[in-house]
Amino acid sequence: MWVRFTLAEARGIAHYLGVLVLGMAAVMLVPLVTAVAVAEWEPALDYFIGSTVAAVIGLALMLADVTAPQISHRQSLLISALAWLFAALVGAVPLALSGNYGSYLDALFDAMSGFTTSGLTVAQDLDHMAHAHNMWRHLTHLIGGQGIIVAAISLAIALKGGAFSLYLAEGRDERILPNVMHTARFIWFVTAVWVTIGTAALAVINWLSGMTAVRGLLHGFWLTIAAFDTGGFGPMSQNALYYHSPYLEFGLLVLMLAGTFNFNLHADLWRGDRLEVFKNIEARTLAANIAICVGLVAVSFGASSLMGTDAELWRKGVFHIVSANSGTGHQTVYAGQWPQMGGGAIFGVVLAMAFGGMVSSTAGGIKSLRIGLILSSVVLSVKQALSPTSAVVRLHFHHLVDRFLTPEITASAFTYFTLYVVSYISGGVIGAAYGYAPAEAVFESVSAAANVGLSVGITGPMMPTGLKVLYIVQMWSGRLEFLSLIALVVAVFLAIKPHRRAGA
Amino acid sequence: MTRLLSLALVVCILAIPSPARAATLLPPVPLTPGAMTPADAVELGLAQDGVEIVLQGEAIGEALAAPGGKRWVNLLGDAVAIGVVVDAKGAAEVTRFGEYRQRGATLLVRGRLNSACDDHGGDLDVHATSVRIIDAGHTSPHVVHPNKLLFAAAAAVAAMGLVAHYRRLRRRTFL
Repeated sequence: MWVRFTLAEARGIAHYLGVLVLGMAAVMLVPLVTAVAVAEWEPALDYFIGSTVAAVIGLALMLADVTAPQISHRQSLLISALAWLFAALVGAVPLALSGNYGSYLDALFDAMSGFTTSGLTVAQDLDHMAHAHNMWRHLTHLIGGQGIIVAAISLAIALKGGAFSLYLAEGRDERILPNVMHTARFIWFVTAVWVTIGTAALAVINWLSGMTAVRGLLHGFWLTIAAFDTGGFGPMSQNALYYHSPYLEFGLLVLMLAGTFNFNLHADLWRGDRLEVFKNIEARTLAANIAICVGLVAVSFGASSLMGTDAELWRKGVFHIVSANSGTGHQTVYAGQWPQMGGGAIFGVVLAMAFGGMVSSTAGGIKSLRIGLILSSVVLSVKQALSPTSAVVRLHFHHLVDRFLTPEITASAFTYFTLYVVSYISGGVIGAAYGYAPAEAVFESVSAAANVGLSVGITGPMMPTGLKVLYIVQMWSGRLEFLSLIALVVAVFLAIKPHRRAGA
Repeated sequence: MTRLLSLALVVCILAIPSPARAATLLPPVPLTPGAMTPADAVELGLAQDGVEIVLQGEAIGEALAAPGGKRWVNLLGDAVAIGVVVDAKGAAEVTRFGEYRQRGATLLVRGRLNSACDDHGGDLDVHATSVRIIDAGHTSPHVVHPNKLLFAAAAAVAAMGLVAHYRRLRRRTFL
């Protein structure tokens, strides 16, 4: 039986949403300070407005229940789903005021793309965008990559009771430390270490390339966030191609790989357990997936008359496979160049995007753990078929600990696999219905639903409004791994469905 | 049906073009006869490799280091930017690059268009043989609209009022 939410439960949801939106108001002070520091007065006003609007909405929502009640698991699902929508809605306000977006919907598209670490963009005149707006766009990657809820938990924002439920509802599968607040803080610690190292390295590369101190540092910081949080935004319209630097591309490659790593593996490495990386089914599946996709690209480049040197294989082949597999979306080719790279390369990139990175990371897609488990279940089925009927055949796998593959684990992996594939295909069908070539429509749909951000050129300010809405929903649902969003749709449906009177 | 129509109406309202956009767009320097924009060059580069072209675009960002003591200058036109390899002397003559505060110099470049340059890791780029500055660039006006100031003040007053109301309600609830 479906159970409707009571008014008291809805008020509790509104209160905690308000807390999170108020948090967004506070984070918007960072681009506001950036704008003031570099004397960008109009953007400074945009962030003052954005922050106060977020504060008004947050406080209004908190007024729904000033007692800050305990929250249940089912409430946490809705809070998680709505937190991402509200974050995007208020996060879009300063972007809409920037003059770099054709409409509020376009600004909402970029805000959702930023928070979900997708990286697809419909911004206009990006090369003349203010530093403050670029700071905000990239900060959305940082907040969204670590998780809006994780950010709130780590700051010990008063989320009574359901902190762990909220953590799981945000599409995270495992906790790293026994206490969920410690887990959230560990995630931020790992991020801080990588962002510091990455920013320093990329800033030095930028300075040596000829950038000024301020621009080199800011671009280094933004690119690091975009790569480690597997986001893919760039401060220039050419994305990573703007820099024409193999050193910078190598730095991004390392950061993208680090970003797609499960935070549990970061913890194991931190504790000195390097063997875990080699034993873990998830790491092995990801490595195999990258190797197969790079192989496809190499074969494709071999058959191409344009790409063929080792440098091209690394800078156009390996770079884009890692960018796709990690769900980052950094790009060093023009959209129209994909066909030049050959069918095998495009297939490899789509496969890499669809499969995605690791669970409990900043990456999107189906996730390599689930792919590994599904492949293991195939092996188990073959083993069972070839064994005597009286034999008990079991298969174990290693993911942090040794475990046996059970029907429940397999079913869960298949469920998520199915949900992602349905989203990929349905988005592709709708894109094709808008008149785009089916292969291009599927590429863009996979890129949106797997939160990647690579584009064959469909995404842009001039694309149909219906597709903008579709990709916003795909990015949102893909980031939450569907469950929270499905729960939200069911709750809204039950709320608006007329009550049936007994005996009627 | 009514709910679906309401949803469609909301989407339409959200998609209303932003009035701020027109104010920030600056008219581009007119295209020199016989020259192509970076957008045209990228389009041509997808079809032909190694052709000689005349390219016009706005220099953006900064000149970046390129192998062999040369410099990369990225040129923007028709919302597409392309990397151009120029010699250091030519790059040094460009003093204004496009960014938030300014429109960069407009360059007229003659050079070879590479679909996937073997010297530069497969980049679609242009190797310039000559560079001429046809417009030095200028600062961009960014004026704060009075309506924004009014809206900011109204939002701040509303936020302060809500903070006071929330604190009063909290006190009343827990006393």
